[in-house]
Amino acid sequence: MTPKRNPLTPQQLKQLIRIGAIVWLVAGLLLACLALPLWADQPTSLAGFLELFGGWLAGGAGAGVIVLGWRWLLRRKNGTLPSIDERSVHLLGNFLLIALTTLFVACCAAVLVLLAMGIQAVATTTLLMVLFGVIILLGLSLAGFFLSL
Amino acid sequence: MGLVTNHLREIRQAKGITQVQMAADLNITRQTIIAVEKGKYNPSLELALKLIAYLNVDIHALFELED
Repeated sequence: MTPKRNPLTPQQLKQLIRIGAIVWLVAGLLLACLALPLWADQPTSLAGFLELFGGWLAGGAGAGVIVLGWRWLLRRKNGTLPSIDERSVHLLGNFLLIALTTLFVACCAAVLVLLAMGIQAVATTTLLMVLFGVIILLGLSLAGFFLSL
Repeated sequence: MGLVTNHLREIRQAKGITQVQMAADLNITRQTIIAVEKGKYNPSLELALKLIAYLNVDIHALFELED
């Protein structure tokens, strides 16, 4: 039997997750920008979309500069030591398990509270906004997790 | 289930190796070495074998299974 090789090294995995987190966040923001006028019951326009998305992108770029500066400082402190290894992947698994479990319980609690409040129906656009909020929150918490490594 | 303990800190210090040096040589983070030494993280089989080879010790000298 040939030995099973790991398909990805921790460094490759780090790059993959970094790209995935960026795509995740941008996709979440893009879809939220599309859904926000629907949710607010306002007419959709390209100018309005660009204004909203551009503002968020500018904010993201500002946050990116802070993050890169923080990483540069860490690199100066740690030298050439790797910042991710097998334990980081293990911690990521634990983090995702806790995050998804919390999300599931919170969603169940939210539905029960709404039901107790006497709400019988929820608009799909509201659900859409909540969903994008969750996507963005998960993306941000993933980014925060990797910053803490 | 038995508890795995290790003597990584003692062996590393006896050989005069620093955590930073070990992390760089094994391509792992210093936090992982700290976690293993404190018994908060059990290394994978791959890392355990790397540690044994790096420190040039017997597996039983480095790891112990407590019943």
